[in-house]
Amino acid sequence: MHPIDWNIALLMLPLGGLSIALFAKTLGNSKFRDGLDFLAGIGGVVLPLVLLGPLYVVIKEKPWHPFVGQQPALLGIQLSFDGLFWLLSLLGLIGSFLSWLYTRSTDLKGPVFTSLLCLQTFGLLATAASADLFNLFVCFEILGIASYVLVALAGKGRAFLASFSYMMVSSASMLFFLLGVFGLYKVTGRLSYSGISQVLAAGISAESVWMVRLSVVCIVGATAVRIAVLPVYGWLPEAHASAPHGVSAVLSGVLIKVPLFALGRFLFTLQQNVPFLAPDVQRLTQILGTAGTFTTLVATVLSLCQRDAKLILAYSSISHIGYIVAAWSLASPLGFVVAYLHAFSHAMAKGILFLSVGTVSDRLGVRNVDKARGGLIQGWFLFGAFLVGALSLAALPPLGGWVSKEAVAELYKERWQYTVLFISSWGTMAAMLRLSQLFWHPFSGKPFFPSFLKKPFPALSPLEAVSPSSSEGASISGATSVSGEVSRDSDASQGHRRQRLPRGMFFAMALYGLLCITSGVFAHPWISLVASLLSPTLAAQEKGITIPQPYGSAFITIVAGALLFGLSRTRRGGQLLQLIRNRPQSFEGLVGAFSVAIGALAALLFIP
Amino acid sequence: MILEQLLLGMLFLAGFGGLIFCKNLIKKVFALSIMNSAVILLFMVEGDRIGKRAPLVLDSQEILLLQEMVDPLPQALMLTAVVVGLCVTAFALVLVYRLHREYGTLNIDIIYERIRDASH
Repeated sequence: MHPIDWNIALLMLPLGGLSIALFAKTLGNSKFRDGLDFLAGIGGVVLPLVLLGPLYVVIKEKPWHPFVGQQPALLGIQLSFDGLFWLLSLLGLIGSFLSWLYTRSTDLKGPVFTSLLCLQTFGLLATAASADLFNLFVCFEILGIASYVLVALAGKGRAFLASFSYMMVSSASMLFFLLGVFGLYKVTGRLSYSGISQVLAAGISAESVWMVRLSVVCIVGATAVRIAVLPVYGWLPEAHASAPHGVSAVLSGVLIKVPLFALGRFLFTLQQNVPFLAPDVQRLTQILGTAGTFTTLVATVLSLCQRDAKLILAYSSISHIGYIVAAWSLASPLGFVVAYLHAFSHAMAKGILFLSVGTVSDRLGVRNVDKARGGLIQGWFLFGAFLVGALSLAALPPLGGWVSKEAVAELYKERWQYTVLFISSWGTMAAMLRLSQLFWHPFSGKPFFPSFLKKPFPALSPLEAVSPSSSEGASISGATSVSGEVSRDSDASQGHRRQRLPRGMFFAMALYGLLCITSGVFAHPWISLVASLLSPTLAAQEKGITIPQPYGSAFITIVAGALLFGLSRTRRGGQLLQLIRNRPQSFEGLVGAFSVAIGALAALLFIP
Repeated sequence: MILEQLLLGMLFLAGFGGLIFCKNLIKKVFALSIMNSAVILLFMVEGDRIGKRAPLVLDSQEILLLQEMVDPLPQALMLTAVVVGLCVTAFALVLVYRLHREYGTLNIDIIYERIRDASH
C-alpha cells in the first residue's frame, strides 16, 4: 500500500463508521442495532486512532502533498499529509474517542450520536489535511453542521437556541469566507494554496492587489468566528454549555483549535511565498495576536462572573484560545509549536473538566455553583478528575497546562503582553476555585471553608434541586443522564446519594487525566515529538523550548488567584460580577460583532 | 459585469441586514438563504466572464471553441455550496420549529428573554 493510501484510509475510516451507524439506525432488532453501532464507533473513531501509530513513521520520513485522484493541479484538490496533519489528527481523534467512550454510558448513545460524531471526526481530519481553499470551506461546513446537530441533541429549548445562533453566525461568516475564495479565484484562477501562491508570486496587476488583500481579510475574519476570539466569541458559551457533556468536551477541546491551525497553513504559505503579501499577513496575525491577548483577560473575567458550572468552563475555553492565538500569531516555528502544545494540554484539561463537572452537576441536579453542594459525596474519583483538570488549566506543576502556558508567556517575556497573560492566569485560578464550590459542603450544614468569607452557602434542598432556576440545567443534562440509574428527582429527594460511576465514564476521565499528567511529567519527550513534526530545525536546537521551573510563577498564581476569588465573594465583588453577568446579550450583538470585526480588520489593513 | 456584481453585492447586504435586524426566526433563515444565493450567483457571473456557451464538449471539433465556454469550475464548486446551503436551511427550519414548539413564539428577543428568566 502506498503511503498516501494510508493517509487517505485515515480520512475514510470515519466515513465508514458513519455509513455503518446510519445502516444500524434502520434496523429494528435492538441487539443488532447496538452491535452495529458499537462497530461503527470502533471503525470510525478507534481504528483511525490506532492507525496514527504506523502513520507517524510514514509522515516523519516524508510529508506528502498529493492531489486527490492524481488530478492535475488546476482541477485537483490538494491535501497535505504532514506533521501538522498528524498532530491535529491526534488531538481530534483523542477527543472523539473519549467523547464516544463517555457517551456509551449515557442515554445519548446510539446510531444517531455515533454517526454525527463520525461525521465531525471526518470534518476534523479533512480540515487538518486541507491545502485547498474551497475544500477548506467545505470541511468547515461539515464540521459546523455536525456540531450544530450535536449541540441540539441535548433536546431542550436553550440548546436549540444555542445551536440556532451558532449556526446562523457561523454560516453567515462562512459566506464571507466564500467571498474571499471568490476574490482569490478571480485573481489567480487557482484554489490550492500552492497554486495561489505561485500565481501571486509571479506577479499580478496593481488593481488586483486590493482584491487579494480584501479576500484574505474575509477569510481571516470568517475563520476568527470559528476560533471564537474577541470580539466574535459570543456564540460559543451557550453552545458549549448547552451541549451534552461528551460533546462539550470535543467542542471546547478540539473544534475551536483546528480551524486556527488550518488558517495558519494557508496564511504562512502566502507569507513565505508571496513577498508583496508578507507584510499584510504579518499585520493580520499581529492584530489577531493582540485580540487573542485581550481575549484571555476579558474571557477570564466573564468566566469568573458565571454561576452555571458549564458556562464557567465555556468562557474559560475562550480565554485559553486567546493564549493559543497569541502564540500562533508570532508566525514563527517556535510560536507554532507552543500554540500546539497549549492547544493539546487545554484540550485534555477541558475534556476532563467538562466530563467530571457535568457528571457531578447532573447527579446534584443543579449546575449553579452558588447553590450546588456535596459533589464530594459522589466519590473521590470525580473530585480527583476535577482536580487534575483544574490544576492543569490553572497552570500548576507538574501538569501539561503548566508547561504549555508558561511556554506561551515565555514567548512574550519583557513585552506588555506578558503582563496581560500573567494576570489572566490569576483569573483562571480564581475561576477554578469558584468551580470547585461544586465539591464543597460534602456534609450539609458543616462548611469547611473559612468563615470570614460571609457569602451565604445555602445547602441544597430537594426543592432547589428541581426549582425553576435549575430546571434548564437539569433538563439539558437529563439528555446525558446515566442509563439505568435513579432519576434526578428521586436523587434530589433522597439527598446526594452516591451512584456508581459507569465504566465508560470512568475510563474516559481516567485517560484524559493520564494525558494531562504525562504531558507535564514527560514534557521533554513530548515537546521534542511536537517540534520534530512541526519544525525539524527547531527540534534540532537544544534550547528550543525551555521547561519552566516549578514554584516560581505558580506560587504567585495560586496566591493571586485565591485573593481574586476571595474578592469576588465579597458583597461589592459579587455586585460587580452580577452586573457583568447580566449585561444585555442578543442575536444582533453576535452578528454585529462579526461585522465590526471584518470592518476593523479591513480598516487596519488598508490604513497605512 | 460590474453592474451585475453591484446588484449581487446589494442582494448580499440585504440578506445580511435581514439576518441582523429581523426578529422573526424564519425571516432570519430566509435572509441567510438570500446571502447564500447572492454568493452563488456571484461565482456564476464570474464563470461567465470567459464565454457564454455551456461547458459541454460534444465532439472533438468543439474543443476549438473552449474559449467561448463558461468556466465550469465555479459551477462545479457552487453545486457543493448549494448542497451545503440546503442542509443548513433544512436544519435551521427544524430548529425554528422546535423553538416555536418550546416557547410558542418566533420572535428571537422573546425567546432570549424567556431563557434568561428561566435561568435567573
